[in-house]
Amino acid sequence: MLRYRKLLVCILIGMGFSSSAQIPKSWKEHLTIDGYIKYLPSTSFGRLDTLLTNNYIHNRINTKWYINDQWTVKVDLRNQLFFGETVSNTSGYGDLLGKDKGWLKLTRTLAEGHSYVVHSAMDRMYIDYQGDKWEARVGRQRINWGINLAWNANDLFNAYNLVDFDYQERPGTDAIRLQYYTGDLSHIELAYQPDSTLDKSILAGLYKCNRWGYDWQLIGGQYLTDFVIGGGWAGSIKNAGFKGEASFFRDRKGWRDTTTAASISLSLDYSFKNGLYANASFLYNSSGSNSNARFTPQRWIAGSLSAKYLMPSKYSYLLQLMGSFNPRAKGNLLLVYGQGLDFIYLMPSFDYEIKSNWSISLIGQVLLIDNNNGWRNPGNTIYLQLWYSY
Amino acid sequence: MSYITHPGSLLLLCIYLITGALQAQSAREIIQKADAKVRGTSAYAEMSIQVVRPKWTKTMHLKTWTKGKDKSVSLVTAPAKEKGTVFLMRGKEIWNYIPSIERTIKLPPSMMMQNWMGTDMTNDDLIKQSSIVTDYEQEIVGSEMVEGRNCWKIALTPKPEASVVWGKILIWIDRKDYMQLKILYYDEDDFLVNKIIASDIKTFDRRVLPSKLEFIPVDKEGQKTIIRYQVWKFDVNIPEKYFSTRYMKRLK
Repeated sequence: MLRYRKLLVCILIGMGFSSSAQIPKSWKEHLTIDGYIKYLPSTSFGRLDTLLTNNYIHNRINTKWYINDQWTVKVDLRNQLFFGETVSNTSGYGDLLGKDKGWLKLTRTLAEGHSYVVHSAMDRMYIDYQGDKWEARVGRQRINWGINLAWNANDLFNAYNLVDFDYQERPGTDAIRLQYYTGDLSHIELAYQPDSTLDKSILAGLYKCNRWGYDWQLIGGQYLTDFVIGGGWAGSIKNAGFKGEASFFRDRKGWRDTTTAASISLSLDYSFKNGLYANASFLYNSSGSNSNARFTPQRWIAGSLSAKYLMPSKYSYLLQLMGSFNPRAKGNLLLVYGQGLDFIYLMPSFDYEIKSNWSISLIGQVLLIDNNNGWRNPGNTIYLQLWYSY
Repeated sequence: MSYITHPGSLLLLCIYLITGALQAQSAREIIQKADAKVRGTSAYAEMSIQVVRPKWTKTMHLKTWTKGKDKSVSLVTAPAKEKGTVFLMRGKEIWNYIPSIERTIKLPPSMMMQNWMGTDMTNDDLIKQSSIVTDYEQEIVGSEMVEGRNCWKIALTPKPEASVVWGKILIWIDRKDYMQLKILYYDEDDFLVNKIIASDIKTFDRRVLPSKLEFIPVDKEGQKTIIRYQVWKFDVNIPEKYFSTRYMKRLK
């Protein structure tokens, strides 16, 4: 543990602040090191008399070693320091963060005090072999089978919560993955995420191809306690992007007796001439709720999701607007409506590039719930983000 | 026949034949030749793209590989935050690889017409220049000097069925080296909207070409985007896999 901590300090001091330009040239051909440091203070408030202030310093180090044309090794490290009221008010916050959900245990809480936690995780650690037609990858990796920008019903391995804006790299999954390329735009893939029991593991395949200007895919396999079958497409109607994906789940043991759970998502996106990008998405989650009686927003925001359960509501709608005021200033607005549960989630953000490699952002999160007596506002958070990339 | 064997006469004859051939060239052939010159059968380029605004500038670095008329792939090499981002274009389809999440996302075709990464030029400007050959009627309307070079002035008007954004394009092509030295873009109401000014002529891979291109939106004071080519190679052997979605993550 102590050795690990020392190593981390060395990496932080030695690598974190150096730029890849300092790597000798012969190495540079084979090794890339980059990442960023960001500071994210936030204030949360329900009513204005209950303020909660938190701070978060994050350092990311991405390393990629191109051994030769065939072999690549990737190790990415995510180091975080949390301090503020949530840490001091939550007992065992360090333990909570230190738990690694994966098969490999690559997460550590390095130091912990009354009001701070230092935490480190490797969210990518894999070796990749790329042959002429074959590719094999073993270790912690992202397996992105999703097609849509917001809700990915086909993301059996890496479903993510769109509320998690501060984790853009998204967690990896511990898996063995084989890909066979049948063409420039088509391939077959098999992935296995092992665990202690079959009910905790995933074994699935994917076939992807491109016809008539559309990407098409089919997926199927064993997903935790279910069998799953699904597919999707990415294409266009005139100049608008048109994408969809669906997955159908059925319990392996009670195969004949249970009903099928469905997760279906559709989206349309368009890029306007003035630089505005708009995305409208819809999600159907057959296991979602249609009534707001038992909705707990905390569970949605803090909890983990799966391809089978991407939103707590049965029918969800999303509108995203993104635009550049100029190459340095960008605005983004995310609006999510959960029908039946009657909640609205709003996330406006504004990014400004102060100078090359430095940027500052202002991000808001607003939750509104209609509890039959009109809309109420249980919580909001405002974040300021200072970011340095190297 | 002796006059033909006389070296001086032969030269004269050659000059006559060449200039005669040039005069007989249609505007369409000139445009085609100029377009083919910057395209080759395939090309590789390293360039910087500088966005200039009244109070600041931003510079990006890019590597691009193109093959034929409808395959291209671009890799952003700087700044650090956007490094490793890849755009693959095959015909009307565009894929975007985002290195941080190791994910390839398909983009809507409308992205081609939008200003690329906040610059003053579109993807179409960068890649689909062949549109000036296929989507427009060409006509030589004059002869003028640009950058100290004698140029044909050619007017392009869209074909009735073409889905293009411009009402008219004026283009100046150097008579000697077939370089596009100045382009003016007019909207359907005949207002000048954009200008491209080429300069700093250099030799890249035995081709004489302008190394600097300025994209200037006319109605925006103090605003422009400058492309500077550092490396430009033609008819290079680019493996077909470079234009595949699987190779996007390995481009270097």
